[in-house]
Amino acid sequence: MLSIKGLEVRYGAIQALKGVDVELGKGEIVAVIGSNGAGKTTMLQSVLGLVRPSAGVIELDGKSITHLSANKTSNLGVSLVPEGREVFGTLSVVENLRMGLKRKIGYYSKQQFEKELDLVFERFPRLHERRHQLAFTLSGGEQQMLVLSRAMISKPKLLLLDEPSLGLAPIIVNEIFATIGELAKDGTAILLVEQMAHKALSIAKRGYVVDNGSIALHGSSSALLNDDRMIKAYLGAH
Amino acid sequence: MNQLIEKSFGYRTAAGWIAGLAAVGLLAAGPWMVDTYYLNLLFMIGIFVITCTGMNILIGYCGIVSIGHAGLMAVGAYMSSFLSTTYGLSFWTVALIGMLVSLIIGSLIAIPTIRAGGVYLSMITIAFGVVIHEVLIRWDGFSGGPLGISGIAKPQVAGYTFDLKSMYIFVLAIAVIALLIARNLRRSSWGRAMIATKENEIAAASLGIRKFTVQYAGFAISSVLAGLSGAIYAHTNSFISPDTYNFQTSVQLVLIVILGGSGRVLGPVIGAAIIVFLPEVLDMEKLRMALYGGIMFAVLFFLPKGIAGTVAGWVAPQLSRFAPKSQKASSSTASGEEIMFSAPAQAKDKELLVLEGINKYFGGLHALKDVSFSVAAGTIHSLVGPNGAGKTTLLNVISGLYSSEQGSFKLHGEKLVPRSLSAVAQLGIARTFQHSRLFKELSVLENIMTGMTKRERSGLGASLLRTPKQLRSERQMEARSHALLDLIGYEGDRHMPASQLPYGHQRMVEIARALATSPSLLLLDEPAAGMTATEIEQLENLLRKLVSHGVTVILIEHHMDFVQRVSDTVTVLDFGRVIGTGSPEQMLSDPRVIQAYLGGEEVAASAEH
Repeated sequence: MLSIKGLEVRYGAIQALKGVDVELGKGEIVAVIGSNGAGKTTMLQSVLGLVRPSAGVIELDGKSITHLSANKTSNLGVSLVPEGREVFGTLSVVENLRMGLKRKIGYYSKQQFEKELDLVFERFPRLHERRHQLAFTLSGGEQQMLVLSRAMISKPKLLLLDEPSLGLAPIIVNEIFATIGELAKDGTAILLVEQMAHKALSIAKRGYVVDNGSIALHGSSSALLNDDRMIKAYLGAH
Repeated sequence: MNQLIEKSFGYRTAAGWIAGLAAVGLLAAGPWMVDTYYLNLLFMIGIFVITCTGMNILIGYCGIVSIGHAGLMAVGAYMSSFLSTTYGLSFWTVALIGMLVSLIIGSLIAIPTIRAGGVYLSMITIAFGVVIHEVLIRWDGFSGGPLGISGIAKPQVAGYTFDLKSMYIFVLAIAVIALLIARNLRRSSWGRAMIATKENEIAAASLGIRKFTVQYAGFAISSVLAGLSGAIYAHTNSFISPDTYNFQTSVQLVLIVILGGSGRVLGPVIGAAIIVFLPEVLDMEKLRMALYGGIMFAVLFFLPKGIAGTVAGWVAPQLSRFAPKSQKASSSTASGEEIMFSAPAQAKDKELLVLEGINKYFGGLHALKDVSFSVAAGTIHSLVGPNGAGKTTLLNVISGLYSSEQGSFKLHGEKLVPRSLSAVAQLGIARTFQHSRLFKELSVLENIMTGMTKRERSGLGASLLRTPKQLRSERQMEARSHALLDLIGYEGDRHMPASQLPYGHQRMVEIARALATSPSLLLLDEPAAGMTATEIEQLENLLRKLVSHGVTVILIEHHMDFVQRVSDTVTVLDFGRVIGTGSPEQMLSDPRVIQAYLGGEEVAASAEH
């Protein structure tokens, strides 16, 4: 579904990505692990089209999306959940969720939207309690639930998640990861950037380790979990 | 060629000075090279550079867009002209009085309106400019009404009367001084505090920076420079009328700053040169305002950073390729860790902070319910609980960002009354934010140095003049900042603007910035979020080191194994209420905590360890 080949990105004189290859199939979860500044976020941003690659090809279903702008890519069914919870602060929870419909708004009837809302609220009862509150009054964890739900409602083919566990209570992290798993079962392809390497590799089939702009390691999750270099650098001794 | 650039990089400062001196020398030779017509234009550019350098400090550093500065120029011009024509005082006396009155009137607008902030302040400055213009038209006795004042005496020194040539040299000198002042300011605590306040008021306040003080300083400098340039203009031209200083002039001043590149020292020079020359070259005197409108439109559309800003954006990355690679400080251990922490040695386990019955409401939402616990000095006290339990709210109340409706705090046994963020920072409480609030325009190093503002700030005068003492204190702050970055294990580029930092590094730099205030109590809101396992281990070591230096830490964190390892005490919050306070083992095995917070799976996982 998604195929990245030889992706290079430059910021001025700094080369953020130096030839990255990543493959992702339908309904597959692939984890991307790496230290801060390794280029993980840049990778997600270049897939969506927020960052222009200086070389390489990004293909979605066999068609090149390398040079498409973010709104065109997102119309093709690619959705990015950025790190740091970007909610529309002065809109209510429900209004935020409605933003997830974007161009599809014409195709959704009111009933359908209600149905989608019910699904979201069933998954995150917390959002139901707060559905009329303005988004900026939500706690960090609730905002993360909201952003993820907003992306889900847009029914993406490809979901790019940037550190979904950031700042969440363990119990919510479990919920979020369970949700990610379910989304994949429904056929969404998910590229998951995550610092909680253990957690990420436990739901992903495969993983890539980005170091200093290149792929340092890749393989099945179980192989990565037992790799000495991985344990030393990203998994910790515990 | 590349090697040449690389080599000369070390002499960058010297090269800058030589180029600057050459340019000034060339300009100083102007009167003997061009005719009166062009000399007049050069003189006008000088006048605009003086005013707009002040406005550049106001717009570019402080983020305050004043659209009434022609009014302040008018105050300087009319005050000096009136005194000189009526009482025959010398130019030097009346120019000084003009600057002073301009400062006073500028302060009268600034003091009540800085609090209003951004757009409102701009509106008020527009009104001010218009009022001054109207007053000058009506107040015949002072301003000569619509006809203005003519026959204003030229400045004299020891029997020598200034002509246009010598006035031009004078203006050139003042303009160079103004530019140097703007440059010095940008490299001082005051300049950093101005940019910090512009970028993020809350974060700046949390470092003990008072918004009013720094923004007023910016307004004062710009008022003085506007008054001075007004007086010089009046005494050179010998004639002024209200229309010299109308609304259009104010707009023109803003345009010069924005076109040149706001916040860039040389911006006003570029802007003024274009704005003065262009209508002459194009012979568009009648369409002047339309031309300005067009330029404004084009600049905002195509060059939002202005000419200087855009050029710097192209050139800097090209040059940085040639920069010497090793920029890391070598000083870390030499300067010693002691100087980094001035937390008074405290008897461990003595209560540092006591909270009693804290309540906080947001409208109908009861966010904190009778929260009481105490934090022992020299310990790490963690706050855990579900998202939305009120942990960050509590941190905001402690740090003074929010005020609480009921309840009391005691710090070092002394009762604290509800206070502002900056006042709390002055007491030695520093904090980080859940969403990083770095000052994006400042470099990593400058961000940390901003944390030292309240302790190390030199006087405004010393900062403008860059005195040896101020320079020494800058060097010390720089060394200390490098040491702090070494301490937290930051290995990225230290001269990079904070806007380009990856998320995890932003968090680290924010911790270093909080430490730069030498706090006795450090409040950390989810510092480990977005960090790798290795970085979390570094953080853990750092926290232990801090505690060994007598710093007390309150930590909000969701990485439970981290909390368990590092905390001395854990307080659990749920729905705004304290469920319990105790040792980490005790609290994290509490069934209520497991149910509300950890979830079943996590218990199974921690059983494996």
